[in-house]
Amino acid sequence: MDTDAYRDVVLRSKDRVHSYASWILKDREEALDVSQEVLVRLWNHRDTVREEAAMSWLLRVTYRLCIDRTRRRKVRGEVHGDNLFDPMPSAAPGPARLAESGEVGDRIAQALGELSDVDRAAVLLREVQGMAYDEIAKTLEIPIGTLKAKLHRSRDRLRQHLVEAGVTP
Amino acid sequence: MNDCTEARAAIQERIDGDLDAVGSLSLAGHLERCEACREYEDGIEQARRALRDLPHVPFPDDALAEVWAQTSGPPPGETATTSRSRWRAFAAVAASLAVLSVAVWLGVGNRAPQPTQPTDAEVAQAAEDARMVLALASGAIKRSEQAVIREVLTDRVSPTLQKIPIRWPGRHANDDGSNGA
Repeated sequence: MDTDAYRDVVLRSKDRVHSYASWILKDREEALDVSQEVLVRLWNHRDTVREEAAMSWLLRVTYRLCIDRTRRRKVRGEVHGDNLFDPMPSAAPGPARLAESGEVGDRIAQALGELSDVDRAAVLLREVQGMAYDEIAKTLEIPIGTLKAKLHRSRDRLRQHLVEAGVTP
Repeated sequence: MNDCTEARAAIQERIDGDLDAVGSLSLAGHLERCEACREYEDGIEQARRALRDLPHVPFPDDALAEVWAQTSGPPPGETATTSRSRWRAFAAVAASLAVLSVAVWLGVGNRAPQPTQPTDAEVAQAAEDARMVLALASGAIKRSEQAVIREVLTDRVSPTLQKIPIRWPGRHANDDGSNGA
C-alpha cells in the first residue's frame, strides 16, 4: 500500500474504526487512543496489508486492542464504561445523542452495552460493519458455529429489550 | 414446521443465509399461521435496522492530525498545525511550566543582574515561544485529566517532551532535533 492508498484508507475508515472501538470499550478516551493506535499501526504494516483487505485488518486489530484494554481494566479492578452512554456536551455524540434514530436507537444503544464484549463485537461486526462470517470468526478467534450461536442469542436479547421498552410488539 | 422454537431458529438461519429452500417454505407456512412468530421476526428485523442506523462516532480532526503527524504527513491541502493529541497536550503543560521558569530566568521580577542580558530579538522569540506553549497548554487543560494520568502511568509521554519546539536555556533553535511540526 503506498502513501496515497494509506491516506485514502484512513479517511474512509477512521469513523468506522472509531465507532467500533467506542461501542466495544464504551469509553470515549480509550476508544480514541485505540483508534489512533490502529491507524498508526496500519502505516507501520502498509507493506504487508493490501488496500482491499485494510478494513478487515483495521477492525481485527481494533478488536484485539480493545480486548487487551478491557482485560487490563479487569486486572486492575477499574470500572470503566458507560460514559459513552452519558449525555455529551460536545459535538461528538454519545448514545444519548447517538440515538438520533429516536427511542429505538436509544434502546438499542443501552442493550448493546449490556451484551458481553465478545457478543457485542460479533453483533457490531456483522450488523453494523457488514463483515463476512468467516472474517468475524477469524477476528474473534471462534468457530463459525459459535459465532452464529452468539449472533442468534444477541439479536434475540436486543429484540427483547425493544419489546420490554414497548417499542416493538 | 409446527414448533415455534424451531421456527425462530429458522428465522435466524435465514438471516445468516443458512436456510435452504425446503426450510424456507416450511418457515413461510409456519409464519402464515403463527402471529407470535411473525412478531418475533418483526422484532429481530427492527433490532437489526436500529443497529444499522446507529450513527458513527466521528473521529476528531485533531486526532486525525496526530495520525498524519506520526505516519504519512497530512494529505495535500491539509496542514499538520492542528495536531494536538493528549500526550502532546500533556507535554505542552509540562513545557509551559518550563517556559515560566525560563521567563523568570530571563529577568522577570527582581533578581540580580546577569552577566549577559537577552537581546530584543531573544526576548521576542521567547515571547512567541511562550504564546505557542500556552496555546498548547490551554488545549491540554480541556483534555481529560484521567486520560493524561493513565498515559503518564503507562510511561507513554516522556519521549515527546524532547520534541517540543521551543528554545531551552543554553540551546540553539532546532538543535534538539525538532522540526516544530
